[in-house]
Amino acid sequence: MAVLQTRELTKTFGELTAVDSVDFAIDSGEIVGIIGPNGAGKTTLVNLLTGVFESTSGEIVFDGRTLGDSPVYSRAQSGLVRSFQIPQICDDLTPVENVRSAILTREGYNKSLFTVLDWEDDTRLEASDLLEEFGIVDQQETRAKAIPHGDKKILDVCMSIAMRPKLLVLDEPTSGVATENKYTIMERLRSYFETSEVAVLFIEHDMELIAEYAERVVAMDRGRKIIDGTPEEVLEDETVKRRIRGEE
Amino acid sequence: MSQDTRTGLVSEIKGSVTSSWGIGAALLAIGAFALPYLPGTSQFEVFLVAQILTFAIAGLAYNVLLGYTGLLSFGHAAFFGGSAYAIGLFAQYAGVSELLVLLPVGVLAAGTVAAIVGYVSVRHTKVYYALLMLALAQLLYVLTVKLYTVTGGTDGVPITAPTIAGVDYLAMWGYGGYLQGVLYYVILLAFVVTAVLLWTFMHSPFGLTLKTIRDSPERARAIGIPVYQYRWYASIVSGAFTGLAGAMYAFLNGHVTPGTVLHWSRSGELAFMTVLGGTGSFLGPVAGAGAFILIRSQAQQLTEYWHFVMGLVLFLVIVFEPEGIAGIVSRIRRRVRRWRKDRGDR
Repeated sequence: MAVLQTRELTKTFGELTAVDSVDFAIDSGEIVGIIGPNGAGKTTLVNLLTGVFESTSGEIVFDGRTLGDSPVYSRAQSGLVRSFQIPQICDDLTPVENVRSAILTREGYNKSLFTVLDWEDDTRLEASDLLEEFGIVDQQETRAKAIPHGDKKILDVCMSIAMRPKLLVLDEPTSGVATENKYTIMERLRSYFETSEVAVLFIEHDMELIAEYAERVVAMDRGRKIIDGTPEEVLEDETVKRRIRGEE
Repeated sequence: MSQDTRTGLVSEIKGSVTSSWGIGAALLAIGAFALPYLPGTSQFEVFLVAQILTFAIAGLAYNVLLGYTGLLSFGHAAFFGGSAYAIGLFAQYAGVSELLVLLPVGVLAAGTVAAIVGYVSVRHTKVYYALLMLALAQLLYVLTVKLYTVTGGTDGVPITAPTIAGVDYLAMWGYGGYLQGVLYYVILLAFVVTAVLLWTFMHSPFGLTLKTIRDSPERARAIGIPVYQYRWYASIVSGAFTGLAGAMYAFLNGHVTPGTVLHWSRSGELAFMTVLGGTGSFLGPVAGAGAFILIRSQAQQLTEYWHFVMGLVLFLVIVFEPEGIAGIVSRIRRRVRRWRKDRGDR
């Protein structure tokens, strides 16, 4: 059953149509890659799905409900969670506090004023376990701004995973990471995907990663969905070769 | 709580009590409590410390927004003065002079003003937020000056010494006895309650939510935090406790005018104290309030150009130690720790 479905989803900015009547669906447990040249509308699509932008027309149905103009935070609470291309993390908090903040929000604890956060409680242990799974050591003293860039990317993704999403939208999860580390990140993500029912939508420029990790690929160009199929079909498509893979 | 965490907590408390910092803090607490009875203290010193504690409350409250939520406000005079005026006007028109009634009136008034002003402002950040707060606070200032038939205009409102639980200590003990034996302890208690409550709030899930918003509003939304709503809650907490400080100021000074409590320069002073003490540390603003009041009282005695001295202090802090007094303290701490370690290695 589709966890997310868009119908004729369109977004215009003045004269420009950034996303043009996109029909798209993704099932629980499915891993879908989105490819397309710069300006194809990939990031705009993510912003429409997550509620950063309001669509001009068309609709988004998530988990059986039409989303309408519901704000980013309520979509995140209901399980539609994204990560960021440029890591959006809390610089002055430790990595564990970053993830813990997501866990506390997921559990609806934000309003509790009178409980001092215990160093040993479940939310802290869950946070540090999750980070450990992704290879980040729990250092009480280190602030997130002081960790290496690759770790920031992982932390960003971990904050999203901590929300226990039904649909996880990853905006270039390996961009800015050294080539040899890209596969490490993706392998860790894969083992997480396998142990959960999460549907994953990931934007990626690296066609090798797409071929390796996506079960299905959607190619976009000039705001439109041009092809939707298995990685083999999509990557061998003539338009994709010409427009996206830069082959003549 | 498990056995482990309990013993952990106990050893932590033991550790902090026996450390030199814990001893220092304990001495400070005893000193503050015994102050009116120490040899050589006069009304002047007690008044000065009471003033410091009053502004320390305001500084802690101000930092909920600046240090923990990441919002710079130039409108806190509205909460400080709003509370002081609510108390003055309520006492005047309702004929009540009971502290246990007036205090909630002041805090509630400040909280209400904060709820209204905050509701309008929290959609903005940075300079827009700062200026919007300034504008809204100035509105209250101008209204108070213009509606002089009700508010007394620039002459302000007198605030008579309140009774406490029906007992008129001023009549019994005279001003000196009232200030040193009662009012000082009311202010000290208000400070302790503020420090304990705000410390708890800032170390609770609520506090972590605010810090998340401070560091990255975009990320906060992406993990399901309604950012405006929590900025609004933070404004109300900050405003209500600033109102508590305003109430203490009103009782301590016995008179409030628009110029002393509602003028924008009061907001600027609160920002100054908080930055001077250090926004990155919970107790920073307390040190900031202390340093501000002491430096100002010295500078005023030295020269009529005391504004210049204050400006110079702020300039030096921002250029050389943006983390304020708290930053200097933690730098010394690090150095002491390193020195101890080096000595231990040999």
